[in-house]
Amino acid sequence: MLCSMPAVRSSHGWLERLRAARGFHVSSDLDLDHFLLSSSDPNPTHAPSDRKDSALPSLKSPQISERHPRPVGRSAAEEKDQRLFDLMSNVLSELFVMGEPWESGLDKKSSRKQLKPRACVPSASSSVGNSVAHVKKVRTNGVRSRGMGQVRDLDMSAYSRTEATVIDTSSPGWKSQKLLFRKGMVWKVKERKVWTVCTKKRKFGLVEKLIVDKERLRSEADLKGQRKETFASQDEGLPRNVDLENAIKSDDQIPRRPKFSRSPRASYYKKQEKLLVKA
Amino acid sequence: MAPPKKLKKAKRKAKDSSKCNSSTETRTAESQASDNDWWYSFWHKNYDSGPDVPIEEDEAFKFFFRVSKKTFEYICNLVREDLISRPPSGLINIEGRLLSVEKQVAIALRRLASGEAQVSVGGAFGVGQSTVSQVTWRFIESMEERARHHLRWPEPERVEQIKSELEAKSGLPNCCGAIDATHIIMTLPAIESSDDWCDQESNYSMFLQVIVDHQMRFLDIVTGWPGRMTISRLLKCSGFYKLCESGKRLNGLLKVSADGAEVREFLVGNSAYPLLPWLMIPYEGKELSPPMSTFNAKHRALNLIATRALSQLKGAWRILHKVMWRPDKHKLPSIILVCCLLHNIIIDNSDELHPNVMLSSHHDAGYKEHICQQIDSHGDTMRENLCRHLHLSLLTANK
Repeated sequence: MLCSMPAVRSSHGWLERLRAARGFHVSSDLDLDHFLLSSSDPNPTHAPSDRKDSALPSLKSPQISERHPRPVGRSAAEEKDQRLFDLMSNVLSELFVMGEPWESGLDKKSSRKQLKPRACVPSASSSVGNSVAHVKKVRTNGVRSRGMGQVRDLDMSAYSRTEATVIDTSSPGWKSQKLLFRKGMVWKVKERKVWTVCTKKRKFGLVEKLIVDKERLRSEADLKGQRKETFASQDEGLPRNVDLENAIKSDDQIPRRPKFSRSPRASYYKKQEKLLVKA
Repeated sequence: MAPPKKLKKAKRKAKDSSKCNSSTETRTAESQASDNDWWYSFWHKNYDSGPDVPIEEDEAFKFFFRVSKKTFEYICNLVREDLISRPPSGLINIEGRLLSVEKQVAIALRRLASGEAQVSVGGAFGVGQSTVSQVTWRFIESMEERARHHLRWPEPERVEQIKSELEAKSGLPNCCGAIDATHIIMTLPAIESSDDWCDQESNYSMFLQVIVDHQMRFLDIVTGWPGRMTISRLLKCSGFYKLCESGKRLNGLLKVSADGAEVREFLVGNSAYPLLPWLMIPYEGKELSPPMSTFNAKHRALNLIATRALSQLKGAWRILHKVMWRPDKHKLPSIILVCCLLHNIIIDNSDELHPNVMLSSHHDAGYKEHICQQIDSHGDTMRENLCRHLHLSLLTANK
C-alpha cells in the first residue's frame, strides 16, 4: 500500500483571496519568490521576464550564491532593501511550504521533505504500525530484553512465555521464580525478580508468619524498653516526689482499649498515657 | 472384623505415657488419649477399605500413612509448633473440636500417600474438603522449612562412605551417586494449557530430577521445570550442573584406576543425559566390546538405584503418581519437595515402606527414553578409563 502524499500546492484559492484583500496583484501563476521580489520593488514590470530566474532553485548552495551574488559596492538603500528581503523571506519560509528557504547565513537548514519520496510500506505484523499500542508493545519488548541477560538481543515476541517456580536444593534459598521463553527447542531462562515493594502485601507462609509475629513481639518489647529509657533519661526533670518505678507501673496498669474502639473513653486513656510519658 | 477399639486404646494410653519424652511429658494423659482417638476412628472406618489393608494395628498404620508410629511422632514433633491449633483461629473438625497436630499430620500424610480426592480423605477423617486442603498446605509449608536438613548434599565423610558402598556394589571407583528424572503428570485449565508444559508423550507434566546415594536417599533434587524440556536441558538448568561445571561439586580427591589413569568423582545417569567428565552414561550401540558391555552392566546396576528410588517415591506418595487435577503450578514443586523429604525421613529413621504398598515397575511408565547424543571428549576419556579399570580388575580377580 502506498501512502498518498498531501498535495501541498493543489489549491491557492486562500492565497489569492489574501492577496486580493491586501491589495496585491492577483495572478494565478505568480510565484512566492516573484511576489517577494515585486514587494521589495514597487515596479512590477520586470516580473514576467524574471520568471525563468526565479524558478525553483536547486539545493546546491553555490547555485544560490550564483543566483544572488553579493554586490561588492552597493548603496545603503540597496543593502537595506536586501536585508528586508532576507528577513521577509526567512519569515515566510518558516510559515509557508516553499521550494527552498532562502538562507542568507551559512548554517543552512536541511529540508524536512524527502528528496525522493519513497513508498510507505506498512509493517507485516500490524496494519496500525504507528498506533500507540504498537509503540507500547515495542517498548515493552525493549524493556524486557534490557534485563534479559542471555536473551538481550533477541526479539522475544517470537517466543512463548511461561512462569515457573523452581525448587533446586543446589541453589541458595532453594526456591526461585523463573520466566521461561521457548521457541521450538530453544529455551531462554530469566530469573524473575521478587519485588520488595510487594513483600508487605504478600501472603506470608506459615513459618514466615511465625517469624514475623516473633519480630513484631520483639520490636514491641524494644519499644517498651525505649519508653523506660525515656523515663530514665527524663529522670533529672522529674519532681523529687515522683517515684519512677511507680510511674512505669502505673503506665503499664492503664487498661488497654481495643485498637479500633470508638469509645470516647479510649481517647481519655490515650491522653492520660501521653501525660504520663510527658511527665 | 472391626478393630477392637477400647482395649487397644487403654493399652496405648499406658504404653504412650511410659514412652513419652521430656517434651511430651508436659501433655496430659487425657490429651494423649484424645490425640489417638483420630487413629482408632480412622481405622474403624477404613480397616476394610481394600484387600491389602493389614489386620495388625501397627502394620495398618504403616500401610495408611507410609511411616511407622515412631516416625509419625517424629514428623509431628517437627511441625508441631506450626500446626498447633490455637483458638480462635485453629482448625476444627465437624464436631467443633480443635484438630490435634497428630490428626492434621495424619490428614496431610493420607492425602499425599493415597492421592485420593480431598473429599474422600476428609470423609475418612470426619472433616470437610476445605479442611483437608488447608491442613495439607499448612503441613507442606511447615515441612519445607522444618525438614530441610533431611535433604542436602552430604559432608565429605559421608561422600566417602557413599563412594565405598557404590564401589563395593559395582566396582566403579569414585562414584558419588546416580541421577535420574521423572515426569509428574497433571492436567491444566484450558487457559493455562501452554505447550511449554506438554511433554514428548503429550502429557502436561513437571520434571523432578534426583540424585540418590546407595540407600536410595535423595541427595539433591530439582523440580518445577516444564516437562517439555529435554532431560539434558533440565540438567543444564540445575544448580548442581552449575556447581559441577564451576568445580564446586564432585571435586573430591582423584582416584587412580588399575592402569594408572586418574578417575575423578562422578555420577551415573541414563542415556538421556549427556556424557560429561562428571557424568557417566552407558555405551550405545549393538556391537559393544566385552569391556564396554561390562561397564554397561555395572553402570546399569548403579543407575537402577535412582530408578528404584523414584519408583518408590511415586508408589509411596501416590499424589505424584496420579494425574494431578489442575494443580497450582507454583505450589506443585513444594508438594514434590515434601514427598522427597518424607522419603528421606523414612530412610533416616530406619523405617521402610509396608510391603503391601504397591510400587510401579517404572516411575515413568509410558515414556520412551530419549537418547542424548552429546558426548564431551573429557567425559569420553574418563569413561574409557573406567572401562579399562573394570576390565583389568575383573581379569585380576579371575587370576
